[in-house]
Amino acid sequence: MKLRLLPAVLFLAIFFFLPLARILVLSVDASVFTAAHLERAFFVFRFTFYQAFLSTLLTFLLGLPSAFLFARFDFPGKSILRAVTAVPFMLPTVVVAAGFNALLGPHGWLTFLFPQSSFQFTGTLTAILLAHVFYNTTIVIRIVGNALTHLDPRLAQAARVLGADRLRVWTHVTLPLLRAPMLAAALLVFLFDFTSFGVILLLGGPQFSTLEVEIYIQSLQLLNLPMAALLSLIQLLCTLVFSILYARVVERAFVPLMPKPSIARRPKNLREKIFVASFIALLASFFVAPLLSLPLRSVTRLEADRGQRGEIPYGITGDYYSELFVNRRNSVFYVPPLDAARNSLTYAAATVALSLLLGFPAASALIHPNRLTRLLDSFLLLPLGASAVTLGLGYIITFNKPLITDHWLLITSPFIIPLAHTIIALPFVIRTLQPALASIPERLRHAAATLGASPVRVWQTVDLPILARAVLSAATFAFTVSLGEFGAATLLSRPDFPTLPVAIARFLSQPGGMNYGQAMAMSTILMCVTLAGILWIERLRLPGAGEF
Amino acid sequence: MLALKNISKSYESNPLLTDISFTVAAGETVCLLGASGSGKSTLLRIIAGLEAPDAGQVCWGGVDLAAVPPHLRDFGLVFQDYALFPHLSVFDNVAFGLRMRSRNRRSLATLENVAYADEKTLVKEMLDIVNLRGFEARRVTDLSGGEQQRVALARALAPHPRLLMFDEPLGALDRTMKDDLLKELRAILHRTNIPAIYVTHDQEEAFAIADRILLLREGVILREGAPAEVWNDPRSAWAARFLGVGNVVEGKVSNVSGVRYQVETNLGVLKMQCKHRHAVGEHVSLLLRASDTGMKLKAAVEDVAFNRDQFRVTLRGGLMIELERAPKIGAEISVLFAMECLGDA
Amino acid sequence: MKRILCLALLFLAACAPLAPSIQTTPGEGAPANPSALEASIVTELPTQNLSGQTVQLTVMTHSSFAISENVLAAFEQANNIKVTFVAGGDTGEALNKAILSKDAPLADVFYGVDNTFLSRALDAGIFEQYASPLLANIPDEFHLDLKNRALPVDYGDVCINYDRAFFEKNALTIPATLEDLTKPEYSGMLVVENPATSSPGLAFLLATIKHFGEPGYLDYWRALRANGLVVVNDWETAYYTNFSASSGRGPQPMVVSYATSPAAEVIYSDVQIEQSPSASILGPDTCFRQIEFVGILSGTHNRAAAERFVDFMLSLSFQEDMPLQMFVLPVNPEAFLPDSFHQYITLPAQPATLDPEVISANRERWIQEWMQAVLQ
Repeated sequence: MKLRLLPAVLFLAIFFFLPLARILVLSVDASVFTAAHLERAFFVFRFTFYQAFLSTLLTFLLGLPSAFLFARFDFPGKSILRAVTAVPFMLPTVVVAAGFNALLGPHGWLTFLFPQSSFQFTGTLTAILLAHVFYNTTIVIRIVGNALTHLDPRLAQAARVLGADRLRVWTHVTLPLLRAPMLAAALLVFLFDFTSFGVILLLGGPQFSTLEVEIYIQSLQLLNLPMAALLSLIQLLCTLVFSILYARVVERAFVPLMPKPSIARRPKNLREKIFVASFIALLASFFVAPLLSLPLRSVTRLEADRGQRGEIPYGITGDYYSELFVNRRNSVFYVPPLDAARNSLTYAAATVALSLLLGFPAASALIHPNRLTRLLDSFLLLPLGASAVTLGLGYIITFNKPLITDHWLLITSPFIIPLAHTIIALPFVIRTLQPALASIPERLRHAAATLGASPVRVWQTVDLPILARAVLSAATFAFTVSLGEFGAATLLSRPDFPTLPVAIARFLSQPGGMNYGQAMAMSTILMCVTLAGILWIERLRLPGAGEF
Repeated sequence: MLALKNISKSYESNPLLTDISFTVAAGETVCLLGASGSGKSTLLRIIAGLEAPDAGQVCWGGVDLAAVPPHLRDFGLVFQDYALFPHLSVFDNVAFGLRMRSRNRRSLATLENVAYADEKTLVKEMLDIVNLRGFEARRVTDLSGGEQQRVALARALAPHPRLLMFDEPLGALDRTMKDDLLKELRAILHRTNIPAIYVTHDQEEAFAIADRILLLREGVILREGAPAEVWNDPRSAWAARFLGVGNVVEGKVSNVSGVRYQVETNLGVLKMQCKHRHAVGEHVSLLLRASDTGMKLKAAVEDVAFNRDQFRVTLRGGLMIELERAPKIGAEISVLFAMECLGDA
Repeated sequence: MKRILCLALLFLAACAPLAPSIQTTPGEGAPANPSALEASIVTELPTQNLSGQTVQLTVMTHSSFAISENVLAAFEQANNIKVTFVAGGDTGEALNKAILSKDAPLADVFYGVDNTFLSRALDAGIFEQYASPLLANIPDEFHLDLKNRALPVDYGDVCINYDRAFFEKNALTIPATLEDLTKPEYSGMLVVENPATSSPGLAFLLATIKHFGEPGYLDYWRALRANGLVVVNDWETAYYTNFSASSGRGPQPMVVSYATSPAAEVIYSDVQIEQSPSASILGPDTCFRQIEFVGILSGTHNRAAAERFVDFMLSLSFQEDMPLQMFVLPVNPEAFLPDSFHQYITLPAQPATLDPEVISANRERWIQEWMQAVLQ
């Protein structure tokens, strides 16, 4: 039983804890602790905290009324709107950055439609905050909204009858009951904002450096590995603290509320109607606009190509897509976009295979928990808290010397990326498989057996259908995670084997309409593939399997 | 004190309550008895002010309460699954109403005898009443169902409301717990002299607690009266069946002479007097109750089941009687039945 | 532990057959479609094999590297070498990747380390010595590494470019010195690159250090910042998104770019233009001279082919192809410059320079201090 956990535990030890340990060792280097370094580290930490705090605040500003909207009101298109708000959460950061860039950036729709406006988006804090709100509002809607939906309405009625007016029902009953879910949502949003990398790198300018971005700059741009390690250590400690807080809040957040059929209803009076209508409009435009302007921009020429000084043929074009298939010698890095897509697909396939191979035995060992496996269970979930950039840095400093033979360097091998992606995907894979494996009741198996089914038939008729869904779901999840992952790939991808998100980021920063258009086209493709993955997972979701 | 006048309410154009009028006198416990879906709970929510009626008035002491919001009505409501505040301790749950009401300056509550300042004493007193002494600091989520119901009762009692309402308060409890709580509840209601409305679908509960029963069917009051009156004279086939009074038998009038009727049933032709007027060929329902006098019927015993201190005996033809001693299955026995006509079938 | 690791790696190797790296093909111009490209690889390989084994050579460069197809093809055919280029990002990032992977080099030759990063490369020991015979033709001013680990290939001047039309239309005087840039009339008009992430950005920072010394340069940058300085992460963004005279038509009329950029504007333009839309400011220390080097990465298994390639980069055919491809100037004084260079490029008479040793000793500190002064 415990042996089945061994591969996953060993894998984690080598590819997660060893790199972290190396970071720890490197960061206690005395040369790091100069006044300038510490001042910079403090500055970066302060900004990271500040932007995460602001982002969380704004996310709640939009998320709380939205949660209320979804929990308490029925309106046409409700489930579609809810799905739309959930989409960004699963999208790769490059796609979100590209979407906002296409909408508000210097080569985007807004600039095209209002060329005289002095509105500046990229390189501002506004851009970072907007993207973070875009990303994480769904967390508030889901967690707080769920709590609101399942809140027994009779608690409020009881309070009313006991003499509380509407306001005091909120302050004395509803809000105290929502405090734990709100705190959980806030911590989760804060954690995601705190570890944000792609959004800050691609939408923020050089003046906005979070811990993640600074780790990347210090390691790959300045080659100051001890400083990067110090920052990683700070990052790790922070995420650890937030994760522990989150786990505690979630544990206490369990309030036995009666699961009631939905209490949502159509808006009745004018005030409610105005609230519902304006929030539907706000949510729809805020979530649909970036998602829509991206594919639109990928088929529309709005700006000159590099060096193009003549008439610009504005309008619909398929050039950006057809250009993806052309291998131009002077294109960036000499890696045509199609190859980046092929690399990404290969890495994703390897991630799926590896994470299932490690995750399946681990999940099956965790069905019947004892003290040891419970300990290992939380151990296996630890990578959830570590940031991808930190992981990348750990790999760089751990595997940059020969591992097996003189010429076998892991860091320069393309295999390093699926390894890192497996570390990221493994906790999710185990969390998906475990409840499915546990949900196959022995009684069902016995019942099938007493009805005359052979063990093979039992497996076919009972285990397989349940497992197939869970495995497919876990695999799709690992696949989309690997496909969209940006932080680790930025640090680890070989120049000649970029992943799709890395290639998109490169194209975004390259001059001219053609490169920008190709970035848009690739982002659109990545968005569609990811969306297909999300829909597929939704369809496979086992009833009762949790969210988050 | 409480008077309901012609209350009607419909939901999505289905009538839920139709023209309900009744009163609750000081110290009286009125029981609304009806099957689920008969509109009982909606009626309570209308009285509490949580819902507005489509038509009609809820009056207290002759004053229409339509403009009074629920938190100022000074009524107590005990929910079926208690609706205790899970984030508060037992003490805070019981004290909740006291705290809220002490802040309602505009409250209609007549605060006689209640010193709100002494919250602690009052909560303690309430917990004593419901037999939960020393439970103050407990989490309500850790209590058993019966204990939770006692807390809910204490919470409703604590502000000394001018009316107490119970919405299926014992529905989720097992038999013995139910019986104990019913006894306590009756004692408390008598002691505090608070008028009460008790909603249930269980006729035993209703008979045990009510001073007066209102039998509700599909939003209409079908029968009203003291428990014994209702039991002795259910007045309709539906009421007799719902209350489990005797045997209801369907038949067709075959002969009429004055107030004497002959009715054809599957038990044979039965003769009786009837206050209603029926024509020959009309279908009627008859109530047959085992009695010391009346018509003698002979029938074979089909089944015998032990039921508390008696035996429930099913006779051929479907009639049921309760006997102190169990007859043998297959034996032919004769029983005297009192018969009355319940009107049109 | 090791065995399990091996197993895991074997498994990975089995299930992750990676795409072969894209190779440059001999022939003129890019083929019209990818299938034709693959076909040409297949059909032409055997003919090359007739004349002996073709050597595969990998060259790692920064992402601005470019070369004419026919020049490369001629080299490949003459030497029976197939060259694969791997671009590793901006100068600094590409070099760092080479350093991080020095125990198993990604390539045989590294091109693109400049005088601002030279000492980092030499200290890390990523290059093997190679005293190319062609070094004889190259003036001593470019020959910074006397141990011949890094060989000079080209040079260029990082200068501030300005938008001619903008200054004409607004009747503004063109700033002549670094000090002028802090004047209020130029508020919000200059975009520079972050020296932490961009080599022209670093070069311009070094020019200000040369001019103002320490700690005066920091005061200067604070003044620039107060005057609405715009900082972006890379040259591409600065030039093509922010600079108003580029095809991107951005908001800033002045940008830190190259002395050759005005010529590039004319040559790149799809329509005939008489005069470049931009020009360089050639004041005292407004330009910084960058010299780019090539070196053979230590641990190469293709030493002979690598030497051939280094020789090729110093030879006239490459030195004369380079100006129009990368808009840099050849270190070989005999190399013939295209007319457009003479016509559109004015080189600074006295570009700023700093001793590589001084740069090496202070670079990280200067960048950190700059970040604190300008970005925080």
